[in-house]
Amino acid sequence: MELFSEVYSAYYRAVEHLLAAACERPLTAAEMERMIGQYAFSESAMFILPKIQSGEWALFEPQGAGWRSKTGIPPQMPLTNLQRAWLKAMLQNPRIRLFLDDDEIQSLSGSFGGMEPMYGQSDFCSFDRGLDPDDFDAPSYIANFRTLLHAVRTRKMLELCHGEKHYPSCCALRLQYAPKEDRFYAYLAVMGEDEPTRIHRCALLEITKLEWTGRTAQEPVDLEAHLLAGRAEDPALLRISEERGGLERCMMQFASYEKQTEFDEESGRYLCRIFYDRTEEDQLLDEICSFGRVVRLLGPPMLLERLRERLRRQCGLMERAETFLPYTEEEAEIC
Amino acid sequence: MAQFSELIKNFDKIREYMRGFYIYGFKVRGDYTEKSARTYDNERRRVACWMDDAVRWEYSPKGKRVFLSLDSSQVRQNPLYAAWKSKSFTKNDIMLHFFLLDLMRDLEPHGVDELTDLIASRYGVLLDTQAVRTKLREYERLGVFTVEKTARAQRYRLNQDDALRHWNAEGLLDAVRFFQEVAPFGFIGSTILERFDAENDLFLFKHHYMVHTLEDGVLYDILQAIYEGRMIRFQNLSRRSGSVHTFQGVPLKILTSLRTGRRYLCLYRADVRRFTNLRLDSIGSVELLDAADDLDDLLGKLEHNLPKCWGVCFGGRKNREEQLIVKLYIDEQKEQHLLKRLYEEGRGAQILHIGRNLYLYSTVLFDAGEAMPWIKTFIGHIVSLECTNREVTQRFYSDLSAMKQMYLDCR
Repeated sequence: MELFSEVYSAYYRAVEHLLAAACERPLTAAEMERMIGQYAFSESAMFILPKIQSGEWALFEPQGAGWRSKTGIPPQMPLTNLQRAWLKAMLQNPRIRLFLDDDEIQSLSGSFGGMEPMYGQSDFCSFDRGLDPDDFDAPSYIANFRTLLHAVRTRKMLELCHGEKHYPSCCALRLQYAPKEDRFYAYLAVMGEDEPTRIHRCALLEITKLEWTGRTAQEPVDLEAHLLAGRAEDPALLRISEERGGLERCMMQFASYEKQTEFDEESGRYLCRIFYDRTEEDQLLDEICSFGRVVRLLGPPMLLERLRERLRRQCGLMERAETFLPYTEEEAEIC
Repeated sequence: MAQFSELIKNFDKIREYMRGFYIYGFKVRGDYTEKSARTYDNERRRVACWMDDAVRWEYSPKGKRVFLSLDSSQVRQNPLYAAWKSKSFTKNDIMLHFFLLDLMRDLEPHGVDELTDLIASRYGVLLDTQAVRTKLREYERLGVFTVEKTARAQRYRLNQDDALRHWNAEGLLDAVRFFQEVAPFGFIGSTILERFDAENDLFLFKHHYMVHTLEDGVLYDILQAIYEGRMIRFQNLSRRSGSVHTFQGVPLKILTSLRTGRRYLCLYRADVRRFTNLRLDSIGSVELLDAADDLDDLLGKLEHNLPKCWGVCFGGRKNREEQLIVKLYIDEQKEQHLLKRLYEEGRGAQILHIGRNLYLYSTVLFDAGEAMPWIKTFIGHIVSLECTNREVTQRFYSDLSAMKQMYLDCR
């Protein structure tokens, strides 16, 4: 099976859409250019259009001021063996039960015949995954998950209890997966009369009540704008030393954040600006601490002060270490 | 001068450039010394074409630096998948793709000569029968066509995929929306979504290491070897020293760190009789060798040893086990979240409540030094740390002392 194949290429996809559209009526060059931009890359029109217009790719023929397909609407290509093998591996993932019932999983697996899954679940080991993941097999969890997915898709409103909080009317916007913890969270717009009053993020595991209200939100809520607004005003500024492979480790670990890095000629070190969400400040501080002396936080002042506070507390604890009374084994209690 | 193209023949060619733009982002044209400056210009332009929205540039004293600026927590689909959708092809490839699919829509079997004639009569394109036959065989291998062989001829038909009947099921497409971002080889999932003109409009992903897709080619070969129980040989580039070494051994598992974003191949090397973990992003093309011996025995030994690895180090030959004891001050009323973290992230170590707000975390590891980055996330709560490897203890306290100097003494 070939991983890197032209059948998955953006150019084929763009041409497929052109052929489908040009079956109905001839397409002008401007229309084709727009469609190519939608399905392929930013300069693709510059490469694809001349091939079509010159007849080198003899898939279209000129008609009036435009181009018409020589073929019918392209039929949907069957799944390739690679796609089947990937799907078969997906069906073996324990989280698949969130989406499909056991009989559906069995029937689908059967429909792939003797196709081997692309990989086995045991081929991988995530050694630092949290020990307390969500219970993906619990019927109530699965039911809530599917209800929320349906709510995201349809904008149907829900009444929801999360811990001690009660939201009589809210819109589910997206489900978020956190791989480190192996948990799902839901982004919810808490609704007022007609408008959302605020956005709330809650752990799926902690939802105790989830019911349809019978109402549907008229307008979609812009979650992206909310997430952008939640960003810290100033990025965290780090100075990274190359000691102990610090630069490489740091660049890799912070790759999941939006970041900008440059070499600072003056200090001979690297400066990295990390854009982070205010709700993740603690986590970012933990990550910075984990690098020890290799990474130095330079700003913004509020974040820096929080780090200094942690260090003051740390120094205080170490100075007082002797004053913490020794314990006896009888006193110790296993957590 | 060869004309610029957005498409590429060889995926490996672009791997390091994309990694450079995305992971590092501080390199300027002159820092890419492996190939010529013109190659750099082409690769930069190519990546800009593929990921127009994410490419940024800034001018530094050393020159213009190009980088990919992405917040993975807001990404619906990994934009780096674009690289997998950029394979170059010939005019015959693309014409045959659409002509053959068009002619096979009747789900009837067709012979090579018949199809060649139909292409000429319907579309006015004269193609060599051999070219048509080669494409049909290729698509049969891909699983797009099936072949019916008789004594006299081979006839091809469109694969009537049973699985397609299920595609109306909302749940299955939702699963693809999710797994295309979290499962290995996620770009394949994204091609399935594209096939159904669907996109991920349901899920977001926190701390998502999108760069892994660049290692999928290497991963695919390794998994193939694991599945077939074969040994492999490959070149490994050390990212620290820049040196290149050839490794040979039995691939056993892929180890993944969700905290640091690194993925490793766990290899058993018979020459030194040891398990070795090597980063996937340092591995060059992989050569599959003969079948491995004693595979079950090796896997058993690996499973036995893994619980004592904090990360990917199996320790030295002597004094392999190191005991680590950390005393922590955690406010039981206000800092339950820290206790939760200690339990959830502490890899099953023993956690004792030894007094009011005092906890003792203890574990035995092959290399306690690997646990230090995690231990340091509890800075502000560590009363003391002891390790049977004195170097680990000294390094921890020296690090704290340096941090104190950095943040508290030099203001």
